[in-house]
Parts: sequence; C-alpha cells; structure tokens
Amino acid sequence: MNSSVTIKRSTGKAHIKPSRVAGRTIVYILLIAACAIMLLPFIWMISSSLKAEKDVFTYPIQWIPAEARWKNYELIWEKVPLLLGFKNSAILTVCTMVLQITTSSLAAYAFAKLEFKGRNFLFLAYVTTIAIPWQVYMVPQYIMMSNWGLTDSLLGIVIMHAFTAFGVFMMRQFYMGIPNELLEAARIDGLSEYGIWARIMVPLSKPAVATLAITSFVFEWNDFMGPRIYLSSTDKMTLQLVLRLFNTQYSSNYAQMMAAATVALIPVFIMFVFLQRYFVQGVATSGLKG
Amino acid sequence: MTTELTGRKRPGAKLHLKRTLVAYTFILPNFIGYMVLTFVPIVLSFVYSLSEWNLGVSKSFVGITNFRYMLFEDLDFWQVVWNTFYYTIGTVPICLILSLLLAILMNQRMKGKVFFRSVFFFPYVASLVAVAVVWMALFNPDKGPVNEALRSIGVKDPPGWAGTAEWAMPTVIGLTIWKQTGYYMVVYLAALQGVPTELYEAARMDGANAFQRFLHVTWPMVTPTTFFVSMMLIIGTFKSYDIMYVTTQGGPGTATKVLAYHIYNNAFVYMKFGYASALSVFLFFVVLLITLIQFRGEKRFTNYL
Amino acid sequence: MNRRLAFVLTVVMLLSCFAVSVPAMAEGTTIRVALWDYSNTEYYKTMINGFKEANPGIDVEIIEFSAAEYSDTIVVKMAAEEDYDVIFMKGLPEMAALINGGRLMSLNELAEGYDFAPYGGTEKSLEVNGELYGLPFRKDNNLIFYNKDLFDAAGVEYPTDGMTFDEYIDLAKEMTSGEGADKVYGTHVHTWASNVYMYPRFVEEYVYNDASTWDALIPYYEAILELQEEGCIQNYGSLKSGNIHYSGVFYKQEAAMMQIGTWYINMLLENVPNEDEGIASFNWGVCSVPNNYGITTENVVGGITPVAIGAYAKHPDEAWAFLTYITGAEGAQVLARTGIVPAWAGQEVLDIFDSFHDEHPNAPEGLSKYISGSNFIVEQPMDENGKAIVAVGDEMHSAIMTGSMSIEEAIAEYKEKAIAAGASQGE
Repeated sequence: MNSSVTIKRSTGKAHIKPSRVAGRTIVYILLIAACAIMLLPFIWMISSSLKAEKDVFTYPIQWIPAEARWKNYELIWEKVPLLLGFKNSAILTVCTMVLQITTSSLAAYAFAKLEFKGRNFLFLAYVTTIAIPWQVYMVPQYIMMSNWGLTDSLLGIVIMHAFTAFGVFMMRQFYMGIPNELLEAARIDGLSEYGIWARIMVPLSKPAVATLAITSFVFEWNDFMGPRIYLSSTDKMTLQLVLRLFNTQYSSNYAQMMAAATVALIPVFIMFVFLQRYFVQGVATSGLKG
Repeated sequence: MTTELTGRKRPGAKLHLKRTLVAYTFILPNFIGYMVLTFVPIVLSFVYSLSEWNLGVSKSFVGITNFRYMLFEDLDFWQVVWNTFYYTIGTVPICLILSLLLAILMNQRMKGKVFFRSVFFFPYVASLVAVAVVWMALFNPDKGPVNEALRSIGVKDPPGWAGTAEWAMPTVIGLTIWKQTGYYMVVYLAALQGVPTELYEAARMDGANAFQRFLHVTWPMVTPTTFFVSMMLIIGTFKSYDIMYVTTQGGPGTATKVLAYHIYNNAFVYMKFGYASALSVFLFFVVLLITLIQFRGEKRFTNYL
Repeated sequence: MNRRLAFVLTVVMLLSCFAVSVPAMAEGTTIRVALWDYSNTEYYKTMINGFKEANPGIDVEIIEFSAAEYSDTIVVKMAAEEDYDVIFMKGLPEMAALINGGRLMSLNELAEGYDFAPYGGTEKSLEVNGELYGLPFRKDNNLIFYNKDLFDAAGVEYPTDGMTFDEYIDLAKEMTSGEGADKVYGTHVHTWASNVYMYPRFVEEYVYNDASTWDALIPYYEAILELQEEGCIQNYGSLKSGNIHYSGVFYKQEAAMMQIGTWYINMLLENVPNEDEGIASFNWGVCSVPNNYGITTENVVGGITPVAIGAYAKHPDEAWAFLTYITGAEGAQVLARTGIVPAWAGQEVLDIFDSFHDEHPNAPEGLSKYISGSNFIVEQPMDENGKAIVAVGDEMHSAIMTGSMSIEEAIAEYKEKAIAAGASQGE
C-alpha cells in the first residue's frame, strides 16, 4: 500500500480544497478495493452454502451459484444438532468473557499503576508464558483437570480459559496510557485503589474492554481444540464440534458446512456491531493531560 | 528485576507494605487461576522435557538428551527454526504497519467507516477453513485469478505459490496478514481513542502538518499498544501452526514447517512428548529473549511513565 | 458496561456452573464406545441397535470424535486413563502407538476358543509379541476404478486384471483427451503418498518402515511425474491447494480411471446409483492393481480398521461381546450391504457384493473376487514408530510431487529421516 501519504493528508478537517477531494477519492477507491478482497471469504462462504456439494470446488470459482439451493439452510438443522451447539457455545463464550474481563482488568490495574515487589518479574513471567503453545501443556493440564473431574464439562473449559495472561497484558497496555496525575488526584481526594479502579480505570477503558470482549468472544466461539479434547458427551457439543460433523473420514459436505458456518457467524457479527461504538467513542479525557 | 518502571519517590515502608498487599488483592483472582491451571501444567511440561515419554504408561528420565538431540541430531530442527523466523519477519512488520494505517484512517471523520471497519474485521472472525480455501483458490497455480491476471499482463511463468518450495511461505504469510490485520486495526482503534484531541489541536496550532502530527502525537501516544501489538504478533506467529495445518501441512517438503508445527507433530504424530516439551522450552527462551529486548525498548520510548 | 447486562451475564454464568455433568445412572451394564463419524454413518446405528437387541443387558454409550483429529484425541484421552471399553482404531500405526504406551488390553484370554477363520488371517496383523490387541472390523484394499462409458466412447479396451504398470501408464496417456472444460484425464492420482507407494507395496517390494526398500519407489514416481508433466493426470499442487476430493473427480467423469480403496464402492453405489438418479450416471468397473508379475486378484493391498478394548475398560467381557458382534457375521453383513468391505469374509458377504449389479445395473458383476484375495498385504504394518515414519513419507511425497526436489535426491534425504524416525535399514 503506498497510500500512506494520502491517508495522512485526509487527517485534516473538512476544509474542502480540490486536492483534498482528489485525495479522498483515491482513499475511497483503495478502501473499496481492499473491502472487496476482505469480503471474498465471506462471499465464498455464502455462495458455497447455496451450492450442491459437487459444485463447491469447481475452477474457476463460481461466485454466483447457477441455482441457489436454499434447502441447505433447512437441512443443516435436521442433520446436525446445531441449536444445541449454539446453546453450549453461548454458555461457554459468555461465562469466559465475563470472567476474563473482570479478572484481567483487576490484575492489569495492579501491573500498570501500582508498585509492589516482584511486579516486573511476575509480569514478565505472565507475558512469556503466553508464548507456550497450548499443545505443549495441554496433556498435563488435561490429566490434572481429569483428576478433578472437570473434563467433559463446560465448567472445565470456562475455568481453563477464564484466567488469561493475554487479557492482563492487553488491559495493562491500555492502562499504561492513562496519565498517573489523574490517579494521584483521585488518591488525594481520598479514593481507595478499588475506587480508582471502579470509577476511573474501568470507565476510561471502555474501548479496551470492548476489544478484550470481542477477542475473547471470537476465540471462544471459534475454539475447536479445547472442546474436542475436553468434551465427549453429545449433549455438550459446541458449535465448532457440530460444524465438524459435516466432514467424515471419506467425504465432506462443505456446502452444508458453510451454510452452518454462515449461520454461526451471525452472533459474532451482532457482537461486533454492538461493540463498534466503544471502539470509536472518544474517551472524555478533556483536561487530563497538559 | 529490581529496577522500577516509574520515577515516583518511594513511599514509607509501612505504606509500601500496604500498597503491596492491595496490589496483590488486585492480582489474585487472575493469578490463582492462571497459576493453577496454566502455570503448573507449563512447569510440568518443562519437567517432561527431561524425559522420554510416548504418552504411554511409563516415562523415563533422560536428562538433557532431548536438548542434545534437538541441537545436533534432529534433521529438521534448524530448517524449522529458520522457517519460523522467516514467517515471523515476513508477517509482523507488514501486519503492524497496515493495521496502524487502517486504524488511523478508520478514526477519521469519513462516510461509511462503520461499514469499512466491519468489513476489515471480517477475515478475523470468518472460519479459518473458509479463509484458507479462498486464499488457496485465489493463488491456485493453474486456474487461480492471481495467476490468470499475471499471465494476462505478460508474465510467462507465474509462481506456483503454495505448490512450490520457494513460494509456499510467502503465500502463507500473505494469508496470515490478510486474516490478522483487521483485528490489530481494532486494537489500535481502541488505543487511538485514548489520545486526547487537545494534543492534536495544540499541534495544529503549532503548525504541524499531518505527518508531523502523526510522528509527534499519534505515534508516541500509541507506543504501549505498539509494544503490545508487536509482542502479540511475534508470539502469535511463533506459536501458530493452524494456518499451515489447513493449507500446506508444512509442505511442500519442509518449506512451511514452523516450530509450533514441529512441536505438534512430535507430540501427537511422532508420539515423542518429552522431545516436544524440549522444543517448547526452546521456544519459550526465544520469546523470553525477544520480550526482554522489547521491555528495554518500551522503557526507553514510552514517554509518560 | 451496562450494569443490568452484567448482572444477567453473571447469573447465566453461575447457573451454567451448576448445570455441569449430572451423572446418568443406567441399569445393567453400559459400555463406553469411542469412535468417529457415528452421527452420519447409518451402519453404526444399525449394528449397535442389533447388538443391543441381541444382548438385552448391555447398553452402549457412544463417544464420538471428529474423523480428522480422532487419533490425536484418543491419545490424549488415554493418557488421562479414560475408561473407554471399546475403541475403534483408524489404522495400525496409531494402534501400535497405543499398544506401545500400554493403553490397550491384550485380548488373548478373552479370545480363547474364538473362531478366527473368517477373518482370513487379517487378525494376525493386530498381534504384537504374540498378544492380540484387537479384532479387524473393516478391510479396504486398493483397486483401479474405471469409467466404462469413457472407454467405450474412446473405443479403447477396458483395463484388465494383471496388466503391467507400463500398460497402465500407456492406457492413461491414451485415454487423455480434450481441452478446457471438456478435458478428460487418463487417470486420477490423488494426493496421498499411498497413491504412489501402493504399486510397489502390492508386489511387496516396498514397505514404509524399512528404508532399504524405499528405492523401489523411484520408477513409480518417475512414471507418475511423467503423467503429470504430460497433463494426463491433474496437477498435484492444484489438487492440494484446491482441496479437490477424489470422489468428485470421478463422479464428474473428469478422469477415465482412478486408483483408490474399496470404500469407493460404497460411495459410487450411493452417488451414482443407476442411469438416471444421483449426481451423475455412468457405468463403472474395477480391476486389480497393475504390476509386472502378472498377479491378479490373488493379492490385495490395503488397510485394516481394527476395534480394540481400552486398558482401563470397566467391562471387558461385555466389550468383547460387542467386538465379536460387530466384527462377526451380523456386523459384517450390515457393513457389506452398504458396499463397505468387512474383515469378516464369509460367503454371505461375498454374495452381497455379487448382488450389487442386480440393484445397480451400472455397477460391475462379480465384485466379490476383488475383495477376497487370499494374500492380504497390509498397507502399513504395525510399528511402534509407525506414525512418525508415515509422516516422513508424506513429507517426501509432497516434496517430490511438487518438484521441490528430484526423486533420487528426495528419496536419499528422506530415507535418512525415516531411519532417524525409527525405520529399519533392512536385515
């Protein structure tokens, strides 16, 4: 992308000069082109979901199916326990998300703004352990959880995912950006650290909370490895496990799988649209700095 | 680690103790859960790195044999390490720059930005299978639109992309960037909300142009986020294997076999769990080193600590 | 965030914590059976219902894992000492790993006095050091499938049992025709390593876990790469990056021949059932794997799907009853009726395969002789390092087929890797 210059030029307010109009036009053309590329997987998903299986992998790609098979969207509900998958995934996702946000945000406040012994060491330990692929400690973890009777239960997965180093790291980085002067002022006003966290940090970090929420939501909603190791009863199947049922050893039904995957995306989209405003809502930082 | 990150004066000893206790209460809920459920298993797997274990009933202590095998005998190890660095270096800078640019753009007053934002975020949420299938179809050596386009502009022998040892890694890197950029755009967007608009106003008063405003206001203000994003990207690329798993299976040959893929294979395909743990100890120390370097960088460049 | 929303979420969270795992108490004995593809495979349900009717005291609890990740999942589950009674195995290398880890039960005691004759010796491949670890459930051998209509249209003789490998390659070249959308490839070579090594394995010149036999692959790779260069088969890279499933290639009549396992009989019966139903209609036939020794249907080469009993099984006797039912006469006939080849090869099974032509006139007559060869050569015999060696072979296959390495170079290098992974170097 060599649009950087144009992009920066458009930073200004709407004083409309001819050169600016040209710049904007170029930006829009680039954006629309980028959009088209970004949307391709989505278009492919929808178009495949409306095809007969034998037409899914034809070349060149047939973007618009010759004959739309809406029947796929009916069949998926009969063929696999999709509704059950939605229910289980929803429970997992919501519980994990809430716990993650709460515990991460608390810990992040301490790491970002409080002084205590061993802070840097602990934080370093946190961050570097993010790098260990789950596959490596999955087995000892599974054996441990199995001894506690936490396998084949949604609760097991929730507590396994609820306490993340990632969330702490992310929230800490946002909290770092909040000026210390603000906290000192609050302390002078007699607010306890808990009060500062609840009344100042949390409200100020809405964009960060929204980001963590969407991260956690997308991860949990799309997680396949966790459920497939931890869950074995049919009545606990999550959405991603259900989606795999379309693939068997010798055959696969990508058409119906994509129909189900498209339906499965709807909650993620609703979530994203709902959280959108927090990503862009300017934080009222007036008078905080300088 | 005795250096303090902040420049504030040390309060009295008693107050200090109280503050420490308060700080621990903040950390504890996450810390206990993380310790028990993640840290302990990680330590256990480090212990396994000194053993030979095929996930069967018996394991035997073998000392540093696994590490010696890793460094001197494993015929794939150095190739895999090289692939991992190639993948990381190919992915991280481009992804970082693109996501920051998009975030700045999406933070402007412009029409349709809600739409654009959602669209850019899309590949991140879409199922990996769908994203991989489309990417591989676009870059299909015979019939893919990319090569058709290249042929039409006169390229006689366009690359075979994922089907050749030289181009497989760039193809996978492209897919990773495509899938991840939208997400880090959102992370940057959230960070940009924290930049007080007064700073821009002040800079404008001082006659700074757009580029100078970026350099002197935006960039320093999002440094913690850049630190975060670069760390997460580095860690993410170091430990990811799922993209290769659904596209190239590490091939052709060993062209896209990265460390995490090698770890996965050793653990569950070759059934050498002890050795897989040894590989992950190596991965851990590489990331530790990078994190330490980054920490120094963060201390130097973050301006308001 | 909205406080009310937060409250609701917390309540949901707490409730869900209480909702976990209420143990279901069943009367009598319940055996736990681990398998893949249960939900979408009709014959499992038929068999298990049949078993429950025949054994009223025993109930069956199904534990299903996705097909692609089944082997890895079972390994982790067994590391945590899950008490699965019956475990279906995907293949022998996986099974060897579990046996080696002590996660499967020896069946010697349970099997005392059991009649193994109908398995035709396939059960021998499930023994390690004189201990039997499973019963063979399915066996799938490789065949050349061909499209009779395409051969008729081209006026070319059908491929025959016992043709030489060169004749097969020439036939593939002869049958290649057309351009663009009308292109018909002479044959189809799917992307698995087995689609090449099957030929030398058929004549027992190659076995995956003996590196000294790997040179036998060279002429076969040369011939198949030549087909690829001349456009007589679809390009490996395209198949791989396009996720092309072999079944579709043959249904859509894009290839005149294809080498694949006998499970494809089941797929053809279902998807190309006769002249006017299904996703395509054409007449098809099969012949045995080409070779230079004039061997026809007396040799078969393929894989075995075993069923085993877990080391931590709570009900081994009931599990054994289950094993003998599904791998015995009753289970075998259920399988055979769908066109899947059971390991139990009594006359009833052969009759079923011979009857397919009556119901499906486009299917060949006399299928039974292609599934009953007296010399069953196991595609991948058990080896405790089997999975690792297989992975090395797969890697080599992709390196050769994409032209990333020359054949000789690749075989020389990967032989080293195979030996490092535990392959033998010959006697």
